[in-house]
Amino acid sequence: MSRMKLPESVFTDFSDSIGPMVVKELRQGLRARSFTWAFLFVQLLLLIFMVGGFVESSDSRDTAGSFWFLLQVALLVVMPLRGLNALNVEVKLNTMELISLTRMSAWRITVGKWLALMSQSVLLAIAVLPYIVLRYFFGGMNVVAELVLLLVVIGLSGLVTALMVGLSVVSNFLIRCFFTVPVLILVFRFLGESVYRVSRGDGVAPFNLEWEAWLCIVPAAIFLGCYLLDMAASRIAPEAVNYVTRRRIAALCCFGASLVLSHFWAVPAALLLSFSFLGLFAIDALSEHPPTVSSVYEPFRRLPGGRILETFFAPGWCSGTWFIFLLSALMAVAALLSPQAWISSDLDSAGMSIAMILSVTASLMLPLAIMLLSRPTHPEPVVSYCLTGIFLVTIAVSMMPFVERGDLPGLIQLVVLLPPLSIFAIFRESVGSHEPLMFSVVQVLVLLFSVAVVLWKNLRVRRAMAQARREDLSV
Amino acid sequence: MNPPPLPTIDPSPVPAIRVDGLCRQFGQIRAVDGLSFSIAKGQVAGFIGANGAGKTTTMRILATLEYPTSGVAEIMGINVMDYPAKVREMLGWMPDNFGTYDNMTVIEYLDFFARALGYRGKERRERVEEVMEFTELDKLHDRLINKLSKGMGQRLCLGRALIHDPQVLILDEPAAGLDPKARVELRQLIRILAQEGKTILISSHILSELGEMCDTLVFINAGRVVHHGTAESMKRHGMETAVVNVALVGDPAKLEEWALLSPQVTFLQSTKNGGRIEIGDSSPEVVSNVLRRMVLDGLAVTEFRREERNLEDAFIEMVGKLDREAGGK
Repeated sequence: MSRMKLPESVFTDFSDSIGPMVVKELRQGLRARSFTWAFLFVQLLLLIFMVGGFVESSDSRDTAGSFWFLLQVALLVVMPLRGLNALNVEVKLNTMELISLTRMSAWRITVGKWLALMSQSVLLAIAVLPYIVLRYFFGGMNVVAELVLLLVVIGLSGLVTALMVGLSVVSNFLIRCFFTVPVLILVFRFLGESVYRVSRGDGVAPFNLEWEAWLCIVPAAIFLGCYLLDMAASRIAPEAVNYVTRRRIAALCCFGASLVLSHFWAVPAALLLSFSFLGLFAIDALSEHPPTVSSVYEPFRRLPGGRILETFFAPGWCSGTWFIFLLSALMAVAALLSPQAWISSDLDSAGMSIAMILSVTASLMLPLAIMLLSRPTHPEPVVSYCLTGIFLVTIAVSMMPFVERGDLPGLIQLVVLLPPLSIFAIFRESVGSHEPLMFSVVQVLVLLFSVAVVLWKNLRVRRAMAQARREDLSV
Repeated sequence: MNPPPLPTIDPSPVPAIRVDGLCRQFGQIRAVDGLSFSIAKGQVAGFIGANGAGKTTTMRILATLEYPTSGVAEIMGINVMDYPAKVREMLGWMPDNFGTYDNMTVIEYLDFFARALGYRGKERRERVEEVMEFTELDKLHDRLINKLSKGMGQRLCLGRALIHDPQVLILDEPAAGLDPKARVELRQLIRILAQEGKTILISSHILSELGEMCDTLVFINAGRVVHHGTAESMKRHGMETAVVNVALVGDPAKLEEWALLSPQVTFLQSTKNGGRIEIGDSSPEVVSNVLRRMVLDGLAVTEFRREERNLEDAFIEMVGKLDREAGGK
């Protein structure tokens, strides 16, 4: 029997050098209604705005606002939000397992998803270039500034898309909203300001930053995008595959770099990044069950000093705890070495800086302790960890007015027990100069409690593993 | 109808599938409880058990999709936990339900998996064409996969599992929800694969089909192996007596008279040419001894046919017995 002739185009429409996931996602994505409608809608509205704008005025600045508003909504909101289901939909459809059985690593799957979404965003951006040319033709337009803005918007779109793809492994709607809404608020703030500036003819929007700040922001954005994608990859990878170690090493380097920057150049952005990153690293490191597969630990045992490395860099919440302590300790050292660049610029003393760092660390550790005590075997520990964290932050926010008033001296004793609220109290300077020691002592107690829970639970995990190992040996 | 497949058993000592002391605990529930069995290379093994017996969990562990709490699972001598990537190269997995993608045609689906499995250029095209021809999906190459019938979907799923030409196939309920025609077609595909020497572990609730297709059956209950052997041995499992249909030349009443005088033999029922007798011991030696005595005693036996239970009956009886035992405890 002769073989039926199959269409050539299916085998040649995408080169072999393009990743399989990108090919699949592009084939699906370019046919998806959300993309075709977004594409047509943007084109149609731009056409209407352009024609309407030029009929009323010959100056392209009048059309710039609507042009950039529309483009940015498409690139920074609509397209990234499509990534919010990128990995979760594969899990729900039972197709993730089939993909993971191929030679594709979880990293390639995740990056493929992101690249496909970005390709569609870039396609959308390229499709509006004729309108930029048209506006240039009518005059009153700063071409270089607007092209730079376009690049910045595409870059930002990449970062927001990475965040959405990263979040797409989390099945809980509340957690997704909790992280998505603030990002969208920031995006709309950027969008509003850039549209305002570009319509005034200022060109590139809120970019009147110092070069040192750019030195922090650009690499940090690239690092953050990669980190979020790697974090998502880690959650869909088999237990035997360790993505955590490389991510923690990268996190340590990034954290160290931001501390060095803040020390030598006193860049406030570096300081802010350090704190933000600490939160992200904690969510990552503390919300992951320790693997039960022995092969994950073997590479550490082969290395000299491997046991120490395993303590900080092996996957799981136990080593995650020590890793977060390591980062906090680095932060404390930096605070003592360069108080002028650090928190003490806002606070009264180095002691208060230490109290602040302890409060932040305790805020990150307490949800883990509660999670391990309440739902230690939750299939999605990140959900359990984040929900506990959100609960604690909600309590803290609801108690803020009392701290703000400061007319309840007895309450301060209660306040400091709740680490997220103590951060707020320290920032608002709602405590007297004699309080740092008390703050520190209470936060240390919270930390000791958390560590005790972690060690106890870790002991149980180790025992279970040892038991399984004994059973294996007896087999 | 095609003749039953000839098993092509590789004599090498490493089994294609080996499971030893496998346990999998989900909270308080022990889905797999010390399961042990092995399947030789080239064998087609049926994996049977009631719902919740631990079949799918075991198959998922073998397919590197689940981790055991303890115990060993190996494919071609390679531990599935420690070297999942190596195992995946040798394994084709077909789940009981596979999700469909929106906006993707049959050929694009297979092309994607061929790309993902590392095939490039001409080789990729050949693999896709070969699989489409084998599964007879070539006529439906431009059909969107969410528009396929259940039977065609199962063919596509099997095709995907075969893209990298794996040595071991694990098929979880491949015939579930298929109409009789689609079931027969799927069975034929599996037969061809078996003739090619692939090791196949297949679970199904249609036991008669498994009996025809498989060289060996692994029956599990509550996460443990209850019986491991051929379909024939399973049919006879737990049978203490053997019922035999006997036909004679001459007066059928002679059989009843002979049975009255013979130890271990009870006459059950007269038939046109003879009757049905029950032998008190079902072992082949005793049964053959009864036949020899009949002939020696001058009965002109023209037919001596042992009645077999079908697999469904044997399965239900075994499950019932296990349930009664569990209830007794």
